[in-house]
Amino acid sequence: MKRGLSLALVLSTGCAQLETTTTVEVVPRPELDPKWLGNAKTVVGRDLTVQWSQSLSTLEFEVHESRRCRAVLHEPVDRVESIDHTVKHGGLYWEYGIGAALLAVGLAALIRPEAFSNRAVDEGGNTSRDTTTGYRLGGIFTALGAGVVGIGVYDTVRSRDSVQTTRAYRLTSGHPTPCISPSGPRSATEVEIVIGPWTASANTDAQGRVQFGLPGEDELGVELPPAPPPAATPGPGAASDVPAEGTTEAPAPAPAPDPAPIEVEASIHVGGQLAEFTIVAPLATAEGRGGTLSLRPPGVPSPGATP
Amino acid sequence: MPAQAYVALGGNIGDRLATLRSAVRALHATDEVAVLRSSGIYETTPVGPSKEPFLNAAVEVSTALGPPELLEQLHRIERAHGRERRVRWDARTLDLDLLLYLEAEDAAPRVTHDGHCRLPHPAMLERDFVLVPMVDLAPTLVLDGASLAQHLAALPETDRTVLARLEVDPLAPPR
Repeated sequence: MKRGLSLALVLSTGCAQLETTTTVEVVPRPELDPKWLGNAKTVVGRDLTVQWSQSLSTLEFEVHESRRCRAVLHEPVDRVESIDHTVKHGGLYWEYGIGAALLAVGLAALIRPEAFSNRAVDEGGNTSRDTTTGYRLGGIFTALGAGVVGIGVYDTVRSRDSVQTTRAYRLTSGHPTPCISPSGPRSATEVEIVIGPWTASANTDAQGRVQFGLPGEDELGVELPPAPPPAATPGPGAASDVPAEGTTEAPAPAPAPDPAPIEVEASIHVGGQLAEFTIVAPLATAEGRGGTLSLRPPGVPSPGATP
Repeated sequence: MPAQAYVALGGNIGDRLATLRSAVRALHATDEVAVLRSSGIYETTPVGPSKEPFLNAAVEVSTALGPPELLEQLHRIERAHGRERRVRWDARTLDLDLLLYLEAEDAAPRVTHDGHCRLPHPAMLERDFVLVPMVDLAPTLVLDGASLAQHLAALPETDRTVLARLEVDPLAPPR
């Protein structure tokens, strides 16, 4: 089937299908020294950390960037590339075989045209042959055969293997190293905060700092737990209700207690990376909250997260 | 004023260097297209089912054609070099991709989502075999809020495919 297809291709397109295989051999050039380029200059990674703090309804962030650099070894080499061409399904044999057969028939017809002609007998009983048909067939077959052999020669040239030598630099990445300026504040970078349905964004200043004023708990979607009941006051006639001897002031009423503090989930987005943290509500009493966050690309689970 | 466009070239079958050079010549010979500059040629490991290493490069062209017409010319050149579009990332004699199209030299890259012609090329920031040649040509060109050099620097090590830079000029005349 494949041979038939190949034959059909040879006859219809005039060319056999070529299959190529490339092999590359890399030969170092010892006369030239390899060079590390980009060392401590080519930034290949930026790790972001954020110091944050909450004081009442104010959130403050300081974004810090640690840069990782990498050098690339440029090693002078010669690349010897061998390209092997193979004619598929014996295409060349078909081309030469068919061409030779056509040529043989054509040449035979040209040499012995009478063998390819009709015999004619005249009234006197003499036989003669009209060689026109023989020459015509010979011409056609010879031309066809020459054409097919010509295609075979063309494909033979096309299928020659070749070897090319090219000068190149083999590139090898080195291990990450600290950069010339390894770390510093991440300035002029947009920081976005998401707390429940509320979002806000602002750019860091030259020190990498940015501040957000939080709205009320309602806007943050925070439902505060009900405040615990005030401390029980003694009833009338109780001993404590009696002013101390020598005093005339009534005792001050107990202040209404604050609702118990709750943690509210929040996330920060900087430079396409993010981290989660928790603030404290009610905001009116939140103090001394803060910490350090390591940002990560989206899709990377947060440390400690269960899969 | 003619527009400016960037075209990525790649191939991993046959005489790859000759194919890339032939493609650059064919592009330059196309009506209303002129190849202005070329990146270096890089050998890269194949991504996907293909086994043979690729040669990749990029060229900057000046053109009066619109993006769809330019893309059609690129496909014509691919076909003329025996390219069949089959499996994604599969071996191919020649792959030409329209990466960016700028109405003028200093203009921002055009953004289109028009059927087959999506610009900037949706995968161009994901692979170093596109970014490395592009950084040769336009390291400071800004896309998605960062320069191409920054995008290249941010690529994870696992996505790096470049093996070698060839000391040859894609615009050199045929040998």
